Amino acid sequence: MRAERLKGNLELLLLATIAAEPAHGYRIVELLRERSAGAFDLAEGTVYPALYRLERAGLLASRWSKAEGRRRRTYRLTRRGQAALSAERREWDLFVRAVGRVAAAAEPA
Amino acid sequence: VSEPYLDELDRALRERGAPRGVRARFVTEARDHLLEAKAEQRPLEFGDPDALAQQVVDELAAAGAKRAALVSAAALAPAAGVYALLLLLLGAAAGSPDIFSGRTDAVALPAALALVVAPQVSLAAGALALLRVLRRRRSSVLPRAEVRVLVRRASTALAFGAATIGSLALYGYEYQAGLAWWWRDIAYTTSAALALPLAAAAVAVRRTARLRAATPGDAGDLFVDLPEARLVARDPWRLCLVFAGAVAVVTFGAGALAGAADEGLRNAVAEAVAVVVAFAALGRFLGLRN
Repeated sequence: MRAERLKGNLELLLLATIAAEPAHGYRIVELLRERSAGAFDLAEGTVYPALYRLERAGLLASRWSKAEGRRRRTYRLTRRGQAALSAERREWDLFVRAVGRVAAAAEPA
Repeated sequence: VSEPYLDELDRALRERGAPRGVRARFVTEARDHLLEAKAEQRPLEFGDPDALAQQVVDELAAAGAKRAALVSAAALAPAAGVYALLLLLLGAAAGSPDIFSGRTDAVALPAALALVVAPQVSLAAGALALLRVLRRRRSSVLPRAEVRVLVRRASTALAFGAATIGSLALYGYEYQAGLAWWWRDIAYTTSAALALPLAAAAVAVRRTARLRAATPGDAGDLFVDLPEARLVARDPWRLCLVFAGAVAVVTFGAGALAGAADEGLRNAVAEAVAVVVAFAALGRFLGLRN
């Protein structure tokens, strides 16, 4: 999948991934890859700036924990993040349906 | 885990002015990520350190510049209130003393002039910074030029705000013979107290100024802040002249209503000239014209 397309929807993907369970950066990337059946293959470090942005916007909260003797930051969705995810989902559904209709109309009969 | 890679990431962030806390957090998270991948024997591409650091810093700079404008406005609001209050109280404190009655003309006259000019520049720069924040409230990344403009507007508002409260205290000292003691005391005390939030805001602005954003693009001009103003004039200079004219009319009107048409006319001309001079001197610096 083209990187730009993925980048444009990264916030929705991250919110949706974290909605199910709080997760740390590596786990988030793993879940993204699993759920997309490998379609979302991105430079993994790019997830972190996006996580910081969502946290600054108040959509995510995070805290340090210890795992296997090292520090790890775990992210969870805030109430505001849940509301944003619902709104993003609705918008995405509308978009997909609209694109689908236009694309279907262009198919030869 | 690749320590040289983490060192590179830290260096890239440091070179771009990322604060220590952000650097430490990103490097710690990157280390955890790389160790997890190693434990699972999974090859990964974490990303080019310079590109990642730039992405982090670009977003920090955009958020920091917007925050700097808001923090500056919050710090300046009480200063504006005190300034307005002291001006109102000036009448009760024996009226405006004669401008040449200061202890030392070389200090008193600039203080009196600053008391008129500095708050207007501060208000204009601060309001423009807030307007730009409003226009860009949904943008997580801003062009480097626009970050610079926001930082300049916030720092100009703070600098002239500081000049305003400094000149209040200086005015009280220089014209003490013609002013009530309580007016002077209020001016001294509030000036000292207001310096603290202004200094704190200046620290926030300076922190943002250190970030080296690199997103290309220009900062636009006054019409980015006030797109509706295109209905009045098509280029920033013409808009400035229209605004200067409007300020002159209002100033003259206020003077005429107060029964001092001559003084109103003098003030109107002075205000209009000040607007044009300030636009010529600061217009490009504050991103009002290209």
